[in-house]
Amino acid sequence: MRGVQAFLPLLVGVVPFGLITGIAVSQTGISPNDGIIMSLLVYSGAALLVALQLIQLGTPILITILSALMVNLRFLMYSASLAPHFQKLSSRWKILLAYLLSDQAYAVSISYLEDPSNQKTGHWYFLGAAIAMWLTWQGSLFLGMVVGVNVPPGWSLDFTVPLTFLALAVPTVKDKSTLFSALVASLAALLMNGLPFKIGVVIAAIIGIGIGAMVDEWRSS
Amino acid sequence: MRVWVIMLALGIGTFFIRFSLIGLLGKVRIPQRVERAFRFIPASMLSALVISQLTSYASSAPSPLTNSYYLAAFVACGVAWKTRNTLLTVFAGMVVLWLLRAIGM
Repeated sequence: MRGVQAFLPLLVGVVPFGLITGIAVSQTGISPNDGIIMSLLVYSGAALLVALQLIQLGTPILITILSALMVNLRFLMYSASLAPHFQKLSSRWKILLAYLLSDQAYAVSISYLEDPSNQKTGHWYFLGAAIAMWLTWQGSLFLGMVVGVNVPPGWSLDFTVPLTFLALAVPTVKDKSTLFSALVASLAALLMNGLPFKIGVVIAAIIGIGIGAMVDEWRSS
Repeated sequence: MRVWVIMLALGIGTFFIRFSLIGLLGKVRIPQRVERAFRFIPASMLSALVISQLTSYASSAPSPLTNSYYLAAFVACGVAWKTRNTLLTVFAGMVVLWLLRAIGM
């Protein structure tokens, strides 16, 4: 329950974001019912949006999956950071907590988990926060999708898709190196825009990541 | 059908990314170099996506400077930078778009 409580302040951010993502999802021609099943399967708004966008553009299956999974690679970091705290749990617990892992659940529980005096209750705390996040997310996403399909096309709500990505992209720029990598990736994406099946996006991202890491290494040495 | 194949693969893939190191009993550590490169994934991937998506709105105006979508995205970018708030960013972008439409752009 304390995990649920810890999550509550995040509601203010999650609900509008779920609504907006839901509206954006509905603009890719997906019905709310299909959309919620997809969201239960994938449970990642950004990956879902990327995949739906690329499907709409007729991108080959493999590139679509690759692009969407790349957006989710950050969970590998969370998984690594949480692993020692969940080490003693049963496989069932691990599977459940892994499925429910989200940016928000991680953010509100990590400091609690890292306090040695919470060793016995840590997973319950995480579960509470993670379930609260999951319910909030799926609920607001569904609501957004229902709103989205009922808005007339004259409102150009399809434009919420790139705007949502823009709103996600800008806060990931945290310092000079990430700014540089974002700019390189943007420029590369622009130059490779003519390539078929949006494969330019993946290549541009890899270039941006590579150059960012190189500059980082060069500056720190 | 195609869509569901992708979604299923994505669901399984996403689960295994999340499960990976939790499942491996915390025995495996990510090399520091890889970890550092990871930091750049969100910024690079999302920026590349935004640019690619925005280019699909190119044809609606003769010059990029009079394209109402680009101007709206530009304002939204500024709002995102200042506030780091998703809702406000999308809202600002849409309002600018609607305003530009209203004045005939």
